[in-house]
Amino acid sequence: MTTLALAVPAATGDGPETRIDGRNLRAEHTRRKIVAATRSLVEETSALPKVAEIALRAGVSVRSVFQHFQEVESLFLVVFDEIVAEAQAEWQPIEPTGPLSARIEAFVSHRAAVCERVLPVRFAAISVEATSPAMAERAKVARALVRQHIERAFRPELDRLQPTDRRLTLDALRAALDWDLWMNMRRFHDLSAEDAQGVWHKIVTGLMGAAV
Amino acid sequence: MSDATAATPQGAIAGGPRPKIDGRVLRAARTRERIVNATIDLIRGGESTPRVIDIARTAGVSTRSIFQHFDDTEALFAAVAQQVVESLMPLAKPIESTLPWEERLDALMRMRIQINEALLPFRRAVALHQPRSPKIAAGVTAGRLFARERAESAFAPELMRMPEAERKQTVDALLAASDWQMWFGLRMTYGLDLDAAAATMRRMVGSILMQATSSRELSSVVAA
Repeated sequence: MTTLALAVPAATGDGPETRIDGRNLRAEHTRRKIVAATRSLVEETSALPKVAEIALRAGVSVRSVFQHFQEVESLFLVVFDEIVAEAQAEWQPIEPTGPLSARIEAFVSHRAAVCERVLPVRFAAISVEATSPAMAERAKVARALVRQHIERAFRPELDRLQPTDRRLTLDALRAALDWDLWMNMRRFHDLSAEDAQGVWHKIVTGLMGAAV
Repeated sequence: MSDATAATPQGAIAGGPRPKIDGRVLRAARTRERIVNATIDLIRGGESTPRVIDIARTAGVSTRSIFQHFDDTEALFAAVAQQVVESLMPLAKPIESTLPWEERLDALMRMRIQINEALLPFRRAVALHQPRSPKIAAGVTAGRLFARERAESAFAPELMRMPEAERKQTVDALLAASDWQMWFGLRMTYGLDLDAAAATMRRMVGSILMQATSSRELSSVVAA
């Protein structure tokens, strides 16, 4: 869970410090309302919301939104980080033990759950990514993490391969299990989550079978 | 387009200004083509949403001219999409289902890889404009349906033998594995060169077919 650092000075009872505490707490409360409103809108529409929509949903003024966030992009990044961090925290690593088929089943099922969860914010991020180095950096970090998960779950099979083949198999798995491919299947091929997971199962089974 | 509507029937019937109207219509069509091609060149050069001023300069026309020929950017991008699709049609020949299994796989892969590679520069532009542009969304849907038809007909003999549920799942997997999104991932996101990406995609698609088809029908293993 992401924790918010509250810029609240230590309470010393009455006087100016107490008033500052109150103001900071209110500011923090407003900020959280804005982030929560943005998150709801993103998850409902899979799009980057307009400031006016955010203000309305949060029950604050447009001016208030801009007091807390310089532009919508930085607000969106906060929401993105929140959703992705929650999804990543729920990931249960698949250990490289036991039959391959069980590990494929578990990995595909877990990965599908994560991708489904971040799908709205990932879809919304498309329009931001092209012009936002901060978003591109986040995608890079997220992909590096998935690579670690894949290498862990399928270590025995991958380690049996020659370096070039190992690299290609790993890249194929990464491309196949990429969140953009999940988005493609769900949003552009109109597959149900269940069917999309079935497709992943077929693709990964095929790749691992060929590798053995 | 406004020039084309200036070709009135009266002029044609009177037989007077007719040659001038035809010339105007021709010039308008040629200018429109130049604008579309300039936009395509800029997108191929890496600019997913080219600016009107750059399109104008590349096409050798005024920015005013662009707005005279296209009502808005959606109309321009729709024309670009149409032009790109038309240029890919020669690659899209049907695959003869009586050929041996591996040759059909080779033919399908050649087709998919050529089309996917040609579409690479447009992937980002499409992703950006698809939600707002019904014409582009329709074009993408048409492309998907076409790819489905080609895959289903190429592997009809194998697919026919499967129960309905397995057939759908196999086709869905074939399409996802040979899709331009998969190609974009392999080539751009994960940086594989053309040959490595082609070999990887062929392996993915081949292994999906191998799972579906019983081993006695396939005597040869698909080479990686």
